[in-house]
Amino acid sequence: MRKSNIKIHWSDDMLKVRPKLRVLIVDDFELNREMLGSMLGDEYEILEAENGVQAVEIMREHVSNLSLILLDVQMPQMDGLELLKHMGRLHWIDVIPVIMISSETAPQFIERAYDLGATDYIARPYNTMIVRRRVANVILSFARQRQLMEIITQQISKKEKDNRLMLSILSHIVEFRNGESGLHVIHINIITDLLLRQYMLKIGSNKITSEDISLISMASALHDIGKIAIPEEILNKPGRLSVGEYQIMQGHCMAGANILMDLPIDRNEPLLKTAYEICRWHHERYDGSGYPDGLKGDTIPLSAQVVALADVYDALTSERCYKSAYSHDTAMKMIFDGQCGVFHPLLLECLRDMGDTLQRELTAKDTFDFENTINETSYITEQLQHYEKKRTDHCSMSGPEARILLQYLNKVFDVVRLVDATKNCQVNIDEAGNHQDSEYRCYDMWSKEDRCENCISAKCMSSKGSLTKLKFVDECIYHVRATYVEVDGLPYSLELVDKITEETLLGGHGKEDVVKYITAHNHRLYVDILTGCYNRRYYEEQLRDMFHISAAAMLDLDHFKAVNDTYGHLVGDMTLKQAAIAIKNSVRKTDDVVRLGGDEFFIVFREIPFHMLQKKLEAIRACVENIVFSDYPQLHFTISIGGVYGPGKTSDLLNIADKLLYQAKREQVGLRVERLAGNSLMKEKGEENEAT
Amino acid sequence: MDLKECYVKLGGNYDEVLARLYSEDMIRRFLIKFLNDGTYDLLTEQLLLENYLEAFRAAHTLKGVCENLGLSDLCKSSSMLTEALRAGERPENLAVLKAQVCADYERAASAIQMLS
Repeated sequence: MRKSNIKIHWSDDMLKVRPKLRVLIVDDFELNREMLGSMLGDEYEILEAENGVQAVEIMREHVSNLSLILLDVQMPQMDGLELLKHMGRLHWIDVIPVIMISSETAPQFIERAYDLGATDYIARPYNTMIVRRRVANVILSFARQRQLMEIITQQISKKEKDNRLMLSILSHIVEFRNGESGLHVIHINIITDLLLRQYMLKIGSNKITSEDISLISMASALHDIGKIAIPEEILNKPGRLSVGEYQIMQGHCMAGANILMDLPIDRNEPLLKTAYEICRWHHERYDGSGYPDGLKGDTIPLSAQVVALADVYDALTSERCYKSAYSHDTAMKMIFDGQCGVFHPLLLECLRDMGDTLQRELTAKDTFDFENTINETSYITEQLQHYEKKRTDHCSMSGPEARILLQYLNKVFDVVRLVDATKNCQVNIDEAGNHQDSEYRCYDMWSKEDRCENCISAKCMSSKGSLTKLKFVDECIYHVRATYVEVDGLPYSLELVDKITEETLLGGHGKEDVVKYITAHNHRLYVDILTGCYNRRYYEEQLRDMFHISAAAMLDLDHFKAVNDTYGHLVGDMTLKQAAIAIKNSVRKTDDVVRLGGDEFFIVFREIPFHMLQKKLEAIRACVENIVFSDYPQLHFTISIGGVYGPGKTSDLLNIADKLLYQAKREQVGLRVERLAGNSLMKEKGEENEAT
Repeated sequence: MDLKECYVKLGGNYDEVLARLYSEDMIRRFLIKFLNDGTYDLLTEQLLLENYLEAFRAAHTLKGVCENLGLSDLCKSSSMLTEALRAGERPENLAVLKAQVCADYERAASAIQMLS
């Protein structure tokens, strides 16, 4: 039957992208369910329910991977309309499309079903063709909708991470300026976390959740952010502060709260709300004797109360510019004697119960330490100004700063690393803040033998910007974000990598198939089928606008048209293949070979010395001249090359190389290589340097 | 007896059914399932018990399957019975309606039994 053939073909196409879709048939009459089931055929996995109640149970389990529901109206125990209402209440109707099936053709039934969110209606008698087509259409249009929703969800979670990142960067900057080293922030974080866990043991997990705890401890890092606004002389004054100075110092609470409100972050973001409470009220005391608002008792948010206690404990046990460190026992005594103000009795109990754990945890986490000199503090202040410009400019930092930043980012992302894309290597920063190339290639992490086709780090380094991409490796999907940074003046790409789980990206739709599909698609997209080189599209999309390209060359086989005309296209193709092999064997793996079209090739060299460029290009000529076809021993080839030594923008280098190639052909010298003088745009230079 | 003859005998339109369901095999399979299905028995039982609401559901189901399988005569009589029962009360002309459904069902059942 013609029609059904078309239908089957269409479904096969759909199946390539996703595995069997799950359809739930809800009808009290078994024969009906079976009939619909066999109409849909093997393309779907069928689940069945006899009534609304059963259907709800099945949906509860499969809500994320149910593609469609076929729903009867007339049923005992929760009929079709009731079920629709229920789905609406639970918002299932937003994610699972429903097609009504019934012989109840009375218009008020149908209208009611549409009102309740049904997507379509199939009337009896059933027609196989119509049932299949409607089911497929509805699923397809919903899948698109779902995809969109997932993209949005993903972006939201990305945004959340960005916000966290921003907050943690800000907190570090304050920390440095404050001259207290990064340790204080980490200590507050640990103490807050421990106190809250103890608190949860006491009052029960129904009053405070683990999520609350992690939110508060994360936000605790920002408690002193307002110190940004305090003059350095006061902040780092070794002696006692005067009354006036003390007043200024107290202003850091409100200042911090205001800074947070000014951040370009949604104010309803829970992390921001919590950080605000902490900033503003972490110097309040339980008896109302604190500042800035003199809040009393439990009008002070729990988050601020906990951080206040953590802050006091850490201030006592750490060395500060105005005091030396007290021992744990002395500190505890001072707190319990009320020398540092009044705290919530329950929190004090928590602190007492923790005792030793606290000390142990704090020493265990002191993995990195820095000289906290005033010198460094003022240096960091300069960096802070850099940072504030960062939105238009790139981010630059010192080695020690970079190390702290990496450690912090590590808490948020799966992989955090610095990459030097010009050398394709990962860069380590040791405890002293020195950076050196590691033995790992940047692509080792992806278990690859070679640089990624779409290397966003290289692009970021040349554009001094920030880019993201999705990476598919071994059936896994990673979100990679590369940002240009300078560490002690040296350019790197900061890569933040996150593994994307099946739920976030694909909502449970077969991930492997999507991965395979997209990987194959990318490969097809950028690779020239005949020669295996990159194709013109790759040049246009990935290379053309890159800056700081070390060198480039245009290559063109001599008299190739004659080969094609004399020996036919088969031999012509073979020649191109062999030439591509010769070229690829003569250059390094980090160089990109592109077939621009016909017998025209283009090479982009990264980080290559001039003499090496000449050597490589001569090697290519020799290799091409050595190509021999056993069937056509008389056939020989030569290749002409125009090479240009930059650095420069790829498209500029291409234009110059093309001119040089033309010269080489005209003069029959085979090879012309030129060096660009300086960094200027070189149209004229190419001509002037002819003599070299 | 083949399917086409069977449909003539039970009062249905075979060509229409085939055009909708595409597969002879499927039609045959579901006719036999229909024969072994308890809906008709449930209908007569509930009518005897004077459970008109339950009887309505059974008649409704019967009507539905007849529609799908193209059992036109039985579909028509069960449809009339369904509408009469919709109010959940004993309809005035119950005996007539019921007799018609029974006659149509028996005719359909015997025709299907003679298949293959």
